[in-house]
Amino acid sequence: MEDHLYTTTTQCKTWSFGPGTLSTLRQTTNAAGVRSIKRGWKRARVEASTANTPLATTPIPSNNTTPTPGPDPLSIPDPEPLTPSEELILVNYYMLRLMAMSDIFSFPSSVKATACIFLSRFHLHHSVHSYHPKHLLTTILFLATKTENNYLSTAEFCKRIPKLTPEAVLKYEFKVAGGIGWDFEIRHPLRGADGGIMELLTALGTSNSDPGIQTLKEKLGQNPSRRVTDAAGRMKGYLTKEALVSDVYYHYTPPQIFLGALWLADKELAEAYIEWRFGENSTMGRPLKKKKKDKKGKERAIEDENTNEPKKPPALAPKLIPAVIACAEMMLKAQEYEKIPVDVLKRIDKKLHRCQNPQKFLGAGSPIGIGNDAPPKKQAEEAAPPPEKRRKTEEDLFGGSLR
Amino acid sequence: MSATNSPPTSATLPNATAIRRTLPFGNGNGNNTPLSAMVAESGSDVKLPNDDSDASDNDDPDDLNTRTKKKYTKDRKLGEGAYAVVNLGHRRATATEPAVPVAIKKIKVNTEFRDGITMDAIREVKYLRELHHPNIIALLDVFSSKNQNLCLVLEFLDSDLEMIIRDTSQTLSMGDIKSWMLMSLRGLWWCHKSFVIHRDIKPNNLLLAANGVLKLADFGLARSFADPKRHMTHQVITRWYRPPELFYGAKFYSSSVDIFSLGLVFCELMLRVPFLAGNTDLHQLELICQWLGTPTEENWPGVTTLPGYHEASGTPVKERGTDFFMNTFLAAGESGVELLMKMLRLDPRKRCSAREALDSKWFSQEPYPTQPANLPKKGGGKGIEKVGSDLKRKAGELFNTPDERENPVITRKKKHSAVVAPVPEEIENAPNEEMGSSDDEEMEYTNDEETENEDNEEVEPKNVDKPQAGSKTNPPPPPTRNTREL
Repeated sequence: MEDHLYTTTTQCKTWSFGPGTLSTLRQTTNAAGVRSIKRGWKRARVEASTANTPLATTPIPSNNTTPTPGPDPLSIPDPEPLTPSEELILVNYYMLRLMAMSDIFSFPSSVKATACIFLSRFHLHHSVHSYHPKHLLTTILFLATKTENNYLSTAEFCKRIPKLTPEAVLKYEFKVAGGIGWDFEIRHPLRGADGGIMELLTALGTSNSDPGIQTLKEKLGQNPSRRVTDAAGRMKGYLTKEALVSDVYYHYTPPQIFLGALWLADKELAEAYIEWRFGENSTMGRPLKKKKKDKKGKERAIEDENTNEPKKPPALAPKLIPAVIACAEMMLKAQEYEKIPVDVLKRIDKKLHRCQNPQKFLGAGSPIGIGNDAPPKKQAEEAAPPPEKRRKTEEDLFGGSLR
Repeated sequence: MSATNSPPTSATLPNATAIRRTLPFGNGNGNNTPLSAMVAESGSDVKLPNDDSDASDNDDPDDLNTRTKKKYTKDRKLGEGAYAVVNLGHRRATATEPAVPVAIKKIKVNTEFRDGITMDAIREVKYLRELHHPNIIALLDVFSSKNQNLCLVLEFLDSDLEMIIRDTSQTLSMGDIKSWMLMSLRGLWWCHKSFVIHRDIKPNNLLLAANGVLKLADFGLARSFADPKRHMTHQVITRWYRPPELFYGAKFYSSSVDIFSLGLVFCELMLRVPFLAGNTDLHQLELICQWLGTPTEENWPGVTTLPGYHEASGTPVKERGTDFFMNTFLAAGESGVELLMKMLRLDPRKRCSAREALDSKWFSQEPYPTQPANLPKKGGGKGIEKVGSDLKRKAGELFNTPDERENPVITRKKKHSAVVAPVPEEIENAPNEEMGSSDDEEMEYTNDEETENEDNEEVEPKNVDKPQAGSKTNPPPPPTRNTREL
């Protein structure tokens, strides 16, 4: 259902995945993160034991809250690493924080959405074990302001967030930019959605006797325009939250996501709209299309669909609707992330903290991952097979509705 | 130049190569395994279980960066400006592919711009990652050097259209001009189709490969089409190629700005000098009025409501018709003139689109467009250096060197005698602190209704309107009414 133009985008070529691939990818990333933790701890142990005169328990700076490694460092077990699904929970939690941060600045939704997708894409390939999202949020948001043409200076940017310095914002900019493969362009469903709503309102506003529009009006009851505007508001809500937190950007095209959000906002409206535009009796008049083009090509996604609609097409609707429903369901699932209790998050974060800071538990070694003073050089080894833990959970969360 | 003896690969990376996705994630060894396959691979791929080996994880962008960097060698410097250094380089030969020359554009850390990766670089990377077309320069890779300089690996192209235009020892046939116009329009069509406005079309951004193929370059000022009601800055496009609506401070404009610019390039190809070479913005607008016609409500409904509109001084000139164009550009022939007029309409809404331009009869009539390989070429080392400097030039700048600035290759315009010492380049890159305030002093339009949905575009206007010699002491912001000394 994507058009030719969309298939040339990096979003389609590099950042779209089949149902299984995404979870495999996350497991691989998780495994790499776990390995780096293991290595860090191993090094720390070696350091601890070489320096291990009985006095090696020299208190480590700032260990006030953590248990002092009184006992032999070797008797302390390796920390339990995060599972892929725990990583995802953490990333999504920080994504919600990122949205809130964007709202502080009242950035346009394109900036907010881009930032969220940057975060998600970054962590698709970089484990939170190595890159704690909390250190990246401001960097990502700032980068998104630049890529979305909403630039403001770091000085201005830092004013709004307490204790933030330009250095902190920029420190990981290259890492983030490289980590998302320099693909700064994100195709959001937002524009297509705006276009679709405009199209609906225009159609409903005309006194056109076009039978398609007439049916559309009939289906929408008393005050069709009002109904569309109301639905548009709710739809926007889905597009700027659920669509970002869920994985729909990896699995569906922008127009599908738009329709999915519309479906959630007002199912009947979405059905009627799809029927009108892509149904068996679609009577979409040419003149209307022509008019839209003149609006400086705003309706990217809609136009996308136009190209898919040759003169006498087999109706697209039967193919489209299942995709839209699946997409909508996937978005709905994302609401669970908001409901995750704080203590679960705390527990995960604590686990991560332990993983990343062997020095606090062993009395030697250095912090793992970025955000601490010295980003350590990680070394790799590919021996450890990826742990299969909790794979089920992940599939439940994200694999279920795909087909 | 070596059009004949350089290997054909040099500037003509086959499209497939150009589009290859080298980034994300660890295909540093040059294989292009699709991501999914790679993932499967790395899971099963058992390497030495050496715990402290230096082999890299997928996980680290630094490693990825290093691998990318290692794919290229740096040969020699082609040029250096305030904005970037361009080196000739090669992609190392692999088992399957020979070494390929590339241009490595290293964006300097701008001491004035303290906000990380500059907007020009962001834009250039953003759009070139997406736009793949035979008539658009290919971005092969991106990496950062050890000093956190951003390096763009670009397809290597060895000359530009400006060099051809200025090389008066060559005669350009109408078929040649047609061919270059055709290729420019194709590139532009693809940009516009992808919802990108280039915003800096001019001869030295139209680069030529060794095999004659023309490619649009320098996307440092490009942007996507704006959302409805979001403002765009009018401080774009090098002055000589800037359309009237931008001089009037239009906040909403479209891809037709590129068409106008390209129309002027068309003229320049025929005249061999810039058609409208104004010394200041005001002068430029006068030239437009004088040569193309004075914008009025009649020929351009709504023009008087543009924020920077002011009545032209001097006697109004009617928008030029076929007679004028036929007289001036006789060589283009009837259909060529028709196309040119459509590209240079004052009212942006009346200008043709790139697509319509491509449909022009002109291209299908004799003389047919010259085959790229048979196009005139400008030769040798000079060409390479020049393109090096084209690439490193800051978006919107016109001249590469102070020298060029003092002695521009324009013969038609009179020279100002008082040439003041050239400005050191840094000054031109002074940061533009207040973005929104880049209003053109000359325009003095009112700023009402400016607040809502302002699109904070960081386009440093002084580059566009680069204060030329003599402006050294002027505090940076806006583009000033000081004269470009020619």
